[in-house]
Amino acid sequence: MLSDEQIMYNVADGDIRQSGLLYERYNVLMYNYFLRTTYDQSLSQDLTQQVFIKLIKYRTTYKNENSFKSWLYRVATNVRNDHYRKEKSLKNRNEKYSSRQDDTYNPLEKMAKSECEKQLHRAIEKLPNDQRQVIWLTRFEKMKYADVAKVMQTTESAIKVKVHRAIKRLRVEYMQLEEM
Amino acid sequence: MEKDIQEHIIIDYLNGELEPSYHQEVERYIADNTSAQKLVAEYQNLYETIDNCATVAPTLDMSNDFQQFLDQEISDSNQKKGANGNNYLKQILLLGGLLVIGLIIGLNLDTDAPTQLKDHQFAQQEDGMLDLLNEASVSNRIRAVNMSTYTELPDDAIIQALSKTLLSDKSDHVRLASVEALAKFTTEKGVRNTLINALGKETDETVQIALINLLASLKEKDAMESFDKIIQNRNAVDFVKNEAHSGKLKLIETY
Repeated sequence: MLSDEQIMYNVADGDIRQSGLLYERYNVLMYNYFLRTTYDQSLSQDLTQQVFIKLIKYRTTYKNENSFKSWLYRVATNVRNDHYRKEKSLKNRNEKYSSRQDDTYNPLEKMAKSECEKQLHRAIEKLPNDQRQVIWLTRFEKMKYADVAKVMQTTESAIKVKVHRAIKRLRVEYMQLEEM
Repeated sequence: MEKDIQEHIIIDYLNGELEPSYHQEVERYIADNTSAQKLVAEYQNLYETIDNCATVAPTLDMSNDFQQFLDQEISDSNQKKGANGNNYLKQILLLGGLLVIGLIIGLNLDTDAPTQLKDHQFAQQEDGMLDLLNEASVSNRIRAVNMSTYTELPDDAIIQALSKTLLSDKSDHVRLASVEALAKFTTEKGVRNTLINALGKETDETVQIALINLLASLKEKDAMESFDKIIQNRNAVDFVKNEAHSGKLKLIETY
């Protein structure tokens, strides 16, 4: 089986059809990444589409990448940031979520299999955007700090600090919900 | 151990980021410390919940939309590849077209034009030609342009009429014929200036190439700027740019 990197090199060389393979491998992952950081199903589908459209449009910029996954997440991060910049709604969204009282709004809660999972989604929702991203990449995706640093375009030590802050806050939020 | 430091160490411990010797030391510390045990249990509970989280599947629409986009991109990509080949084909067709137009003009010269000239006396030739140039019919205007080639020493009126035709006639065939007609009078500096001006305005590739070739063969150095504009014009067709480039090289050779 061809590696992600080899397939992407083929796409960059002009074999666009092979991008379908990368889509098959990563579309669910990308969708879940966006869903867990935006809590909007329709928007998550749009952003996922945009990631793969950019993958094809800017395929020739894929050069000397050690990890396709890190590169893809970097594209995804840019897509998400672009979206929020355009909509100028990042602040509004965070405010909206932090002050949200309506339990039915978060689609992940509806889909959760257990009370613990619902509680987790509510706790993650209370985190600021960059902490949600760090949690997703390190805890859900189990990515190495070095790879996360590439995605977030910072240093490995800065990521370690971010991870500690995010996970500590998540524990506090999670435990508070459990006590309620 | 301070609570904040304790929590950082426990996170590293659970993430497997501690040196083996230190890992064992922290393990012993946790075993002896109830608050540390509570913290570890909370984190383990949290991590377990994360690991058991369900993956959410997107709707089928998303995949259908992507497939549609991918099909379109593949189709566009194939068309682009085809278009590169078509450019060469277009270039050949254009050159062929030029030959055919030249041939038609040549045939007109051998048959119709002398007859027209015979019908009009030399004194009436100019008037007839100028009248024909104003006609709506493209073929008549081409005939008028060709008539001028029988005049060895045309006066200003004819040159002006041909120049006006080259600069403003709606038909590219007529403008092309006027380039060839004016080629006969290029000893006049005014004619060469008209050719340069025309190249600056011309949008038809065939006429552009005829003008470039004529100006290059005349080694008209003042045309250099017009050649450069075409070379640098993003919208110019590649083979016209190539002609302009080779024309420029011919001009440079004369320096």
